[in-house]
Formats: sequence, C-alpha cells, structure tokens
Amino acid sequence: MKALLNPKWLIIIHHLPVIILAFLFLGHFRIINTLLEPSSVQVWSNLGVVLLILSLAHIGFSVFMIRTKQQLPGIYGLITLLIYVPFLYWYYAQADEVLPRVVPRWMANEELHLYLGAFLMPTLAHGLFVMVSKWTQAEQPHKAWLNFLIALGVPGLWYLFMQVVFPLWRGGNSHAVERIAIIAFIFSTIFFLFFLVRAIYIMVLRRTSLFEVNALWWKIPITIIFPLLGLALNNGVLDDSLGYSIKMGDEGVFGKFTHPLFYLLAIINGFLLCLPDWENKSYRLPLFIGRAICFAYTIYFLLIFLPFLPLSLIAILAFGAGFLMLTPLALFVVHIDHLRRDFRYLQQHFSKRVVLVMAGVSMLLLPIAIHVNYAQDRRNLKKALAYLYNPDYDQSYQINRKDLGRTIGVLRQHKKRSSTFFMSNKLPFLSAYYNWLVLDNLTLSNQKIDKLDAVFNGNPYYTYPRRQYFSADSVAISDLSITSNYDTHKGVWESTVDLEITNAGRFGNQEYATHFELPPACWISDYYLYVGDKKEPGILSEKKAATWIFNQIRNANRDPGILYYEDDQKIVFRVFPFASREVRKTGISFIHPEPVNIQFDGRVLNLGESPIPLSAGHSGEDTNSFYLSSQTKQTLDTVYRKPYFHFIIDHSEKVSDTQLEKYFEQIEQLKLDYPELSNDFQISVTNAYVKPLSSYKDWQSSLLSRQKVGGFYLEQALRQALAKHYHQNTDSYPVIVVLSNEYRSAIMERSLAHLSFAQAEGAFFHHIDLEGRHATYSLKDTKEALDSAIPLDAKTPVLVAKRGTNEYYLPADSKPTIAVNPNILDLNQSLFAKGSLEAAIWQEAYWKALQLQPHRYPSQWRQLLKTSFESGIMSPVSAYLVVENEAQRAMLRKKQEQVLKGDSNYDLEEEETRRMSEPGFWVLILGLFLVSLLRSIKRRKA
Amino acid sequence: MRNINWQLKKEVYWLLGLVLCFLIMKGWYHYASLPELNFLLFPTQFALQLLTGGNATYIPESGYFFSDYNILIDQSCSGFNWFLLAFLLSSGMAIQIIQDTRRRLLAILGLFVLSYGLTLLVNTTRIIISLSVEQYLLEYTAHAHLIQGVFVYLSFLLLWQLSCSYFLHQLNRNYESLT
Repeated sequence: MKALLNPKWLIIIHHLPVIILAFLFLGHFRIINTLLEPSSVQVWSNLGVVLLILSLAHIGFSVFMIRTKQQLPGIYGLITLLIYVPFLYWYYAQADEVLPRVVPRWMANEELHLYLGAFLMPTLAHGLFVMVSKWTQAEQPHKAWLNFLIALGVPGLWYLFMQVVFPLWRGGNSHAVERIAIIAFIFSTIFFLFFLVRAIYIMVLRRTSLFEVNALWWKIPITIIFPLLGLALNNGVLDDSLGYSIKMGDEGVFGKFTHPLFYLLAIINGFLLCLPDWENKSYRLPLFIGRAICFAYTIYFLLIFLPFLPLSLIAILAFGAGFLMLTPLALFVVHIDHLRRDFRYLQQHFSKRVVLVMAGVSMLLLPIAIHVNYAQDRRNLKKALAYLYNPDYDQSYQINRKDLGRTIGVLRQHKKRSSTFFMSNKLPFLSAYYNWLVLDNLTLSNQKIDKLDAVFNGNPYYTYPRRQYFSADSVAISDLSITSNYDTHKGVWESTVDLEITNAGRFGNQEYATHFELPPACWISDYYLYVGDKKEPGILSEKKAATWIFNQIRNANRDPGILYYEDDQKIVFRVFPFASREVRKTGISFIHPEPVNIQFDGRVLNLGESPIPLSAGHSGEDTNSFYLSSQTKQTLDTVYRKPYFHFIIDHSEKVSDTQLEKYFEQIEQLKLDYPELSNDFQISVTNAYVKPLSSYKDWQSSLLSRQKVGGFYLEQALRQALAKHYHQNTDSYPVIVVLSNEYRSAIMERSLAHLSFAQAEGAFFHHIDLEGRHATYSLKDTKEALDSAIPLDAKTPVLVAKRGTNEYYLPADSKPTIAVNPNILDLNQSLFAKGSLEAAIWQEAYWKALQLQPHRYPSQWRQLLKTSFESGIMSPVSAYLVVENEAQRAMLRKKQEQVLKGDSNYDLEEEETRRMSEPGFWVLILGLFLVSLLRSIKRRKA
Repeated sequence: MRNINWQLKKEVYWLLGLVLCFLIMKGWYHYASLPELNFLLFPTQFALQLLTGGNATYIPESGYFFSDYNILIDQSCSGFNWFLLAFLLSSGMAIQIIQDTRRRLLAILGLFVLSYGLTLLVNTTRIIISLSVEQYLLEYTAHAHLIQGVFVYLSFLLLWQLSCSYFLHQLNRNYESLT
C-alpha cells in the first residue's frame, strides 16, 4: 500500500476519470441544454465550475508533489474525503435539477448520476488508503483487533441508535434532523471503512505476530470463503439457507457472475494468496506470476464494489450477509501486500526492470484473454453477418458453427433487459466493453439473431409480418391539394401534395399513418409539417437513426412526422400527435419525369398532366443506367428468351437421403416433361450454404455424399440465382424451381421485392414438394402462394433496350423503367443538382446495383446516403423526418453519427413487440386478499 | 354433533380435492406449450381480431402476432390465471353453499364451463383496455400494464364472486323450498 503514496497514481485514479467525466457531462449537456430551464442551466454551470476548480487544484497539487518528489501525506487523504464527499452530497441533493422532468427519458441518460459517483469513487478510496498507509507505520505497535473492534462498533452503535433512540424520538425539525442523520451516516461510513482497512492492513503488515503465524485463519475466509459466498449470494445459490434473496430470475444486484470461471478464479486466486511466502526464487517467481495474473480479477471486483462501498454500512445493518460487500476491498489490501512482498523478494534475484515487466505482462494476461475472446466473437459475428447480408457470390464461406453458437448465446444474453432498475443480467464493465468491441455500441435485432441461429444451427425461423401502421378512426385527410409544375431545365415534374389532416374525435394523442406505393420513376424530394404555427422542413437523415428518433418521440407523445421506404417502392408516412379536433398541415413533394398516379389513403393523386413534354425521354447515359419513359418503351423490340431450369434443392440437416433421392426422381421427371427447359439446367444445393452443381452426369451421387449443414437458406439461393442471371445478361433466363418438402421451414424474408427488377420475365419462382404439388410464389410475398400456379413453360415476352454494346432486358409493360447497369458502382459519381432527375436515377440504379452485389454494400452505402443528402431525394437508406426542437435535432445527429460509424448490419435498439401478459397468479391472490381485508374492515366499522 | 362433524369432515375432503385440482392445473400450466393453451388463446385472438379489426398471424413457438399493434398473444397472455382463480373461488363457494353431493358436483362442472367462457371475455377486455389506455398515457410502462391488468382482473373477479354468491344461494333456496 506504500506504493499508493506515489503522487503519480493520481493521474490514473483522479485526473483521467475526471477528464472522461467532463466529456460525458459536456456531451450530454450539448444535447439537452436547449430544453433546460435557466435554473437548471445555473446548476449545470455551478457544478462545472466547482468540479473544474477542484480538479485544477488536484492536478496542481499532484504536479507539485511529482516535481518535488514527495510522497502523498496522510492529510491529503483526509482533505480529499472532506472535499469530495460534500461535493457528491451537494450534487445528489440537486440531481433533479441536473436532469429535470422536462428532458424526456429517452434523451436523459440517467446513468449520468451513477457516473459521477463511480468516477470519483477511486479518488475517495485512494484517499482512504493514503490515510491508512500513512497513519499506520509498520514500526509502531498497532493492534489489529482494536481497529476491528472500532470498525464493528460503528454498525453496532447505529443499530443501537435505531433500536433505542429513533423510537423515542419525538419530532423536532425533521428536515434538519434528516440532513444531520445523512451527514452523520456518511462520515461514520468513512470512519468504519478507515478502521476496517486499517485492521486488515495491520494484519498483513505483521510478519511475526499471531496474525502471521496463524495467517490462514483469516486469509482463507477473506481470500476464498467470502469471495465464493459473495458470488453465491449474488447468483442466488444461497437463497434457501439465508431465507432471502438478492437475485431475480437470472439477474443479480451487482451483475450476472454465474459463469463457472468466476468461481474457479476465486478459488485459484484465494489459493495463491494463501500459499506461504517461502524464500526460494524458483518457488516465488511462479507464485508471483500467478498472483499478478489474478490481480486483474481482484481489481475487477474492487472496481465493481467501489461505488457501493458507501452503502456497505447500510447493507450490514439491513442484511447480515452485507459484510460480504467489503470482501473485494479486504481482498485488494491482502493481494497488493502479497505482490509487494513478492516483488521485494524477487528484486534480490532479478533486476527490477525484469520483475516489473513480468508483473505488467502477467497482470495484463486476463484482460488480454478476455479481449481475444471478444475479438473472436466479433470476427465470428462479422463473418456470419457478412455471409447473410453482404455475401460475395464468388467467394466460398465456412463459418465455425460452434463458435457462432456461443456468440449467439452471448448476444441473446446481452439483449435481455433487466427486470428492475437495480438488477442486472450483464457483467459490469465487461458487457459495455463487449458492446463496444463486438457491436460498435449498436445492437443486433432479434430477427437477425434468429436468422443466424436458423441458418447455421438449423433452428426454426419465423418472420414476423411487417408492422402495419394505420390512422386512428377519428383522424382523416380533410383537405388535399396538388400543385404540379414541369421544370423544363431539369426535365421533370415537381409536384407537391398539401394535406390537411383533422382529428374529428374527442380524444387527443391520435396518430395519422398510411402506407402508399410510389409508381416507377417517381421519387420523394421534400417534406414539411406544421408544428404549431411554424412550418418545419423535413430533415433528410439516415433511415435507422430517423426511425429510432421517431419511435422515441412517438412514445413520449411529442411532435414528429416521418416518411421512409419500407420495402422496394412502398412508403410509410406517419404524423403524430393530433389533439382533439386538431387540424394539422403537412405536405410531400415528388419529382417524376412523366405524369403519375399514386394510390394514397383511399384516393388517387394525379400528379402532372398529359401530354408529356417533349423533352422527357431517357436520361442518365453517362452512368450507364438510364430512365426509359413509357412512350420510349413502346418503340423497343419484343423478344422471347430461352428458358432453362434452375433447381434449388433443400439439402438442410433435416432432409434425409431418401428425400433427396425423391428430388432426383422429380428432376428427371421434369426434364422428361419439359425437354426445352432441360438442356442447360442448373442446380443449387442449398443448406446454410449455396453450392452450385453443374449438370454433369454423376451429380446425384455427388449430392448424396455432401455434408448437410444447418437450415434451408432459400433466400440466399434465390438472391444468388437472380444476381447471377442479371449479371450474365444473356438471351436465356432461369425458371427457378424450389424442391423442398417443407417450404415453410425455408429461411427467407417475407419480401424480396427489391430484387424484382432482376428478372424481366416476372418476379416469381416455383415450388414443388415431394408429392409433386406445384405452387408459385411472388418475390413480393414469399410466404403466401399465388392463387393459381403459373405453368413452368409459360412464355413471357420482354423488351430489349440497347445502349452502346450493352443490351438491357426489361419487362414488357407500359410503365417507365430504370435500366440498371451493375457497373454503376465502379463509376465516379458526378455532383448532382438539388432535386435533379439524374440524381434520382443514379440513386435508384445504385441501390439496385448494391442489391445485386451485396458484398459492396458495407463500403458503398454511405455514398448512396451522401448523394441522397446532396440531392434531397429520399432513397431506401434515408428518411424524411420533422422534429420539434433543437434537442431532438442534436440527438438525431448523434444517433446518425453512431450508425454511420458502425457496421451496416448492426441496428439501433428496436421497437419491441409487446406481450399482453396477464398479471401473475400470486399478484392476484394478494390483490384479492387486500380487497377482502378492506371489505371486512369496512364492515366492522359499519 | 356427530352429524355436524361428519359434515365438516366431508367439506374438508371437498376442499382438499379443490386444492389438489389447483395443484394439478397450476402444474400443468407451468409446463404447457403454446398449442396446449390454444383452447384459451385461439378464441381470445379471434375475438381481438373481430373487435379491433387487426389481423393476427400465428407464429409457431411465439404466438399470435398482431402486426397492426405490434403485440404478441402468447402463453403469458392466455388468461389461465384468471380462469384458475375464478373456478377455484366459485367452486369453493359452491362447496360452502350447496350441501347435496350430486348437485354440488353438477354446480362445480357448470362453474368450470362458465369460468372458461368468462375468462375469454375478461382476457379480451383486459387486452383491449390495455391497447386503448396506452394511447393516452405519456409512457406506457410494464408496471402500468400490470396495474391495469390487476385492476381489470380484480374487478371482474369481485363481480364474479358476488354473482356466484347470489345465484348459488338462490339456487339452493329454490331447491330447499322444492324439497
């Protein structure tokens, strides 16, 4: 403990935490400052000034002590405690002004209150250690038992006080008494901790005394029994014997330390500390290394328990087992003393530098092992997610399923929410580190975790139907006007739909929501919403951040409006809230090269007028992707491409070889029935992975010998087949036939509509089961079969557009189309004017090209977002949002930054599906009992 | 005296039977899967669809998902707790009020069926009230949901208790006047 007298420790113990604390508080203040009342701002600035003065004084003092090479005096510890304890008390007394109620809960980080205590607690603990160390000189005779007695006297006195004095207390100024009691309690806690640490320190100082001779009598409880008891108590193992529990479900007060390694390390650590300090260098060196390795364990628990130390006295008074809270502190004192002794001894045999390096490396071993373990999780997860969402179809993947299974388990554990605010199912510090290292401080939606589990472990995967948003019955459009102007310079119609929405009902807090589909070659270029009397323009922002902010504001019943792409051309539009009889005005602007009709909330919006101005033709040649108007399409050649079978065979773990042989028979039969489709047929063997099989002779035996891995990941096989077909761009096309007996167990999203453009003949595929039943599914709804199956040999014409050497096959319909060249991703993007047609075409083609080459999405989606911001045209990665105030805008910026920095596959916290759980049986029994009690009391009174 | 003792003894047996019934039902519920609770869940979600106009999708191993409201009706929402309490409460009253064994047995069977029907009504009401209430609260927390649930359940339970007491006494009186 003498080492702690070195003033350099203050850099780590005080200066660094205070700097981090200042950044945390400042960052939060920047977001919420516009919402604060002047009185709260005054509190913030007072706190800031006081903390600044204290910190500068502290830093100045440490610099002086370092430069004059002096040790910290005992009085330093006392002054530190006398200053920082009242400071903390002062802070918590006005905590309600720091985060007042006007700051919504989703915006107010309530952990801020905990941070202050947690970050200043090392300074307080250090001050205590300095006092103990300085005022307990080894050469002076000190009695450990006396210090213990004094320490134990504190809770004893409080107990007596509570039993005898409190019941006899007859009023007085209760507020003043309360304050005096709190202050007395704080200082008696410090007094208690001082004498306790001093007692332990004296014990470890004594080499020849009774304590040293019989050291195991106190060492075994402090280093082995108490840590194990503490873990067991926290984890609920002791509930029955104690008669009470501090655990709920699989959560503990201090965290979830149920992993066997915590117990094992507690035993090893205790065992190493209990071993005698023999003077033999080949014995002491490995012992020192072992103790240094375990030091990280002791430090970890000390850090967890430091913020709770002030509560130790209460815990002792409230529960007998509360003294276990002091174990990490006692363990730390014992541990550091043993390290000091080993260090001194080894210095006689090795150079100081060698011993220091050994100590440093050993102490870092456990943290490094944890980091390596987490980094492995990150790699596993990234690799698996890349395969699921951004696969390179030319690359072969091999995921370690065992490791991934473990990672999925950890992710699920991390996603569980604590049932109460004081319970935790996480590991303090480590969970936050995991979240930062593995998940970039974001999260992974339950749907994605389920999908990983289904693909690689073959577990069932159920897609939840897309959430439907709808208006309250009383909320409807009361007025609607359309303004359309043709901009000859841009070659585009600019239409604005102004809406007046009224809540005719008596109830407030109602929402207007609708879904509508954008017609081809029509894009959203602006949005506004009146908030009060002020017309607020829509902010184009990243979609995940915008929807997160909207949901948070929506839950707090404030004023947001949002517009975003839900799926392919489908848009969600929501405005909230409507007070009773309130009329609100909002509007959406569109650009479209030719007149379009939009089905909007039961009405048809006619945007633009015929005839189409002459300048409207095709555009965007420079990007190799271009727009073809409906008129231009009439002039294109119609062709029939040559169809060929592309079989996707279910080769998942659940499929037996007998079933596989039946598929072979079916393929042979289909080849006989449709010879014109069978010449160049292709097969995708699909389980967790998709392996193409050429139509060579012994494909059947080759298939039987292949290993089946995980579930039937049909989505990947379909995406791959469609992308490959689009890239090949030949005069033939695949007729996709899925051979699976359990179509429902196929792992696939409900809609693959964004890939519809990849197959000009029609966005559908066929399924045939073992009984030979044939069904056709649309890419827009992969879960429900079409009413009648489309014949496998149906002839569908397509149009051919030629640009340079390239040919583009397009659907033979009367709708305008954007022809997409996947090479767009390699072209340098030029600057686009605000609301220009070129920008809209470029964005759409770029988005579609990314669907065909998903492995390029993580590196290139930001480019799409950037263009969307520049052009003001909404894309599938952006959203239009109107927020109410500057604080919400600041929060939006923060969230957007977080999403942009993180992995594109990670998510922000999702809007959780709520369970409509009924009250528990015993809660009802209790309720009934209380009601009966009330009734009987009433009856007696009557 | 002997007769009274025997009568009391008999009632104890009945009540013990009720306790056994409780243990069996509670034990069964603890391990019951989603399909096993469908006798409560299916009609409840059907009624919810009818009354709210929302569409439910059955997701195996999860429950009935209402995408319109982003809610899930699963094991925890079956209403079994109310069913169990309503049945036990009313059966206990039947044992106290009706002396004739055959009629007592018949009454318990009838109360079982009635409790089941009422459970569907009460549970559906609880969910609909919950969906309505959340729109008017600044923050609808899990605690608010629990309090609202307890309020609805207890209100119906008390009503059920009063109705049972009235009708069982009435039935008993009618029977006694006939005999």
